[in-house]
Amino acid sequence: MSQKNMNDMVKDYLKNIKEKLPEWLKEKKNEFKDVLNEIEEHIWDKAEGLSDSGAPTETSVRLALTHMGTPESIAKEYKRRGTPKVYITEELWPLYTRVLGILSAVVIVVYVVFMIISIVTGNFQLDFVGILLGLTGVFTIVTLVFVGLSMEGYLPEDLKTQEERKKEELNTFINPTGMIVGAIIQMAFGLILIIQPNTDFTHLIEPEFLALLRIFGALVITEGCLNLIRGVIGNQQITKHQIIMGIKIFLSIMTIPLLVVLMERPELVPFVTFEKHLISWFFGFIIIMVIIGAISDAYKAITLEKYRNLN
Amino acid sequence: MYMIKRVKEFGTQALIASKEIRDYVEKFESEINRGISTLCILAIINGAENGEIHGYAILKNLEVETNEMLVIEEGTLYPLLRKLESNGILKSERKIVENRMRKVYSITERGDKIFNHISGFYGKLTEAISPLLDINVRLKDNYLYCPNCANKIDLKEKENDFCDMCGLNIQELRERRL
Repeated sequence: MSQKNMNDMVKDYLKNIKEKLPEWLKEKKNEFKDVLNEIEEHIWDKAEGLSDSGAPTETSVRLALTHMGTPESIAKEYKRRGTPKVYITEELWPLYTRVLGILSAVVIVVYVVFMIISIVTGNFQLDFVGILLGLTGVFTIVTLVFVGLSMEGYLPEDLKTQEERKKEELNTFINPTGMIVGAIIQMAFGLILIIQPNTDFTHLIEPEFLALLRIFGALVITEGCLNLIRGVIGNQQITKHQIIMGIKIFLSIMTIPLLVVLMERPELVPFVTFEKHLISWFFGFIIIMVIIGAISDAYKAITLEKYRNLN
Repeated sequence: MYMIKRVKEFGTQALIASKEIRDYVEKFESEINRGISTLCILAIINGAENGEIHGYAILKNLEVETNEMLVIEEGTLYPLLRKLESNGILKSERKIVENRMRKVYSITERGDKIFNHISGFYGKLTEAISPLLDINVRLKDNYLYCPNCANKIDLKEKENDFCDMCGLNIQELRERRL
């Protein structure tokens, strides 16, 4: 049998393993390549060892592949990570409960906001079906996702992005230069919203909408200033960062009344020809995003604690 | 990895002709072997020349040292080695061995301490349960086993008055043995 045919046998076997290996390993490209290289080296070593002549033959390669085991059994070993605990591994359990808690909180907050809005607009109707459906949906989806991740052998560190890993390695939680540049751009944008320099353009817009833009601009400038301070402080003084993040959360919540006004009076929005109820829904969606952002910022502020002893 | 799996031919009256019993025995053997294979692999790496060895050689040595009693499915060795590496027990590097670029493994300082403890624990455990199974196990005299945590301490190694694993003062015990 030719060398090419033997190579093909090994290649097919490796291809089969490649397909069956868990996703977390495939995402780590260097490690993934290393795993396959090592298995291939082993196959050729074994084939040599099993051959009488010392050079691999068709039979010895085939036997070496049998000794290696099925691609499924190899992949299964890579998935055997973590300690089993009610279908979700012990390692993923804290993350599971945290995600479940955060998403449930988001559902509850969104429900409460809509209740408040409906009370303000006079359309109040006590209805628990929505929140129950929301919580059940969150529980089902999050649980299924985490059971799947546990079965594939994911560990919490596999779910971190490369950037997060790099930050952890360097013990940094912000990029000061990026934050300062971003803050300057933010403040410039806020200033434009307040000054509203282009009068040819602004006279086409409702004065009430322009007033809202000014308030929004003031909030943007304030947030920009806070980001500038964070950038100047750099990766130290955790408490100051946490206080500033707390103020930022307060500022983002302050935008909600502005958005409620626009939701209630979509006719103020210029140059948009959509149906009014669609515009209202759009601002409703923005309110939800603001709330999720505020919760996410609160979580980030709390998790900054882990850097306290490192800096 | 399992003895019973190697038995390919058996009579219809044999116990393992029953799938239920065969599965039960296979599972039992698998449970016992899992930890033991890891321990034996660590022992082989620890005893390797220059303290480093590549995957294929680990398996060859394992077969020889255990008289082919402990044979693991070869493909499953590498996930195990990787796991030990990510736990900081092993470290690896690529280098040319026998005219071929290979990945060689060695035990880290931390791994060495953990290995001493696990092999000490396993030795003392086997010794302790041997009367129950009516077998004879005698531990070698050149080691001291920490009375607190069963850590295996080589008496020939430089003096250390405290057990690496649990910190127990073993000075008196060592002097008594020496």
